[in-house]
Amino acid sequence: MGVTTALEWLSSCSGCEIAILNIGEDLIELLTEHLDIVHAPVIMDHKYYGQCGDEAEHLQIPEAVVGIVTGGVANEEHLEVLEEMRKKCRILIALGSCATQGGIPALMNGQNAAQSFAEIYQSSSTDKGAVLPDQGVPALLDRTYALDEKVKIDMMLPGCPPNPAHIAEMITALLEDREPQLPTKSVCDTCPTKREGKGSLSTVKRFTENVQFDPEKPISEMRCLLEQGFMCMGPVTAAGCAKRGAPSCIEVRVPCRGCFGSVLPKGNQMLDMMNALASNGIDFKSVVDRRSMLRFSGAHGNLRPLRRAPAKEEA
Amino acid sequence: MSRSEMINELLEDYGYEKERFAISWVSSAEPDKFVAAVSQMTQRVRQLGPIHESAQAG
Repeated sequence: MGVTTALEWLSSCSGCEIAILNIGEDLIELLTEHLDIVHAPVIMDHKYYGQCGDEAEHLQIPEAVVGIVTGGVANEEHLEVLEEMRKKCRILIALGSCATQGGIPALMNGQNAAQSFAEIYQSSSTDKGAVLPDQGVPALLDRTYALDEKVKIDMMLPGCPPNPAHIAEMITALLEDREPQLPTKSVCDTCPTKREGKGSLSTVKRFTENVQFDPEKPISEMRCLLEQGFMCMGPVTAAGCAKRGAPSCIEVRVPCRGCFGSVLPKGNQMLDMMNALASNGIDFKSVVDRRSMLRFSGAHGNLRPLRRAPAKEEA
Repeated sequence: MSRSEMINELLEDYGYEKERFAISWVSSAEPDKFVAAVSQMTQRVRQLGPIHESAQAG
């Protein structure tokens, strides 16, 4: 028997689970010899309330040594499942950027939820519009939370998706009772592009024109995209995406989008980036939509509805 | 300067009054100016009152 493991997914897309599959051949050994998966709604039909739905009053997850949770906490069901996972798992791991910093679903944190619901589901067309259901679906929380805002989390592994090699390293390290060797620096620290200084750059460009590079030459011959004037989030984004040498987006000659979240767990990618730009004499007004820099890290109160917009009722 | 202008905007992004931030240049030979700047700022902040964050602290 291996180490009992429970998997859960909350406000997520299953990309993290696919990243687990992408561990590849090493996964076979992990699954057959080391791990004993006791609960995983994504692959097993395990009932929260017993097989006939009548065995328990509160949802139940079997006890496990390791719990891996993907996705953030957006509604009451997520919260209940997460709290049950915390109770039943000795080591709880937040896997993926949604779990560590809110990820894409936390983009909603920048909007007034009631207003957006009305706009999206009820008033965008001329027909009557949908009625928002309030029966049989869990109620949304006031915003999307990262897991560590709700329960104690023992390990975090960001990424959208996370790097399969790091998932394997984390699990293996746990099995071997040692500290996992995971990246702690920024994307720039793992980026091979050429840095020559910013020169006369004073504004940033939108990514509507192409990056300058020679397709015949390797990434290490391409000039740093930030130095080319593109909004590359490398300096303020946690490293980990480099699978074949260069960071994944840079590998295909595209600026970093910031999908691993901030370098330090409670950092703020937007403030860090604006600070970096200002320090380098870049006109901050040339950044068109600065709040979109929080596209992967809107939890922890980083992204909030603009108060200049019609005021929200404050309790 | 560009950075202080940026701070004004970022404060507003987060829903804080931009008056909560000020910058003034005072040489070590200008005590009166220093006192004026500090008293003005304290007075201003006192008028704005405390920041009402939502009770969610994580």
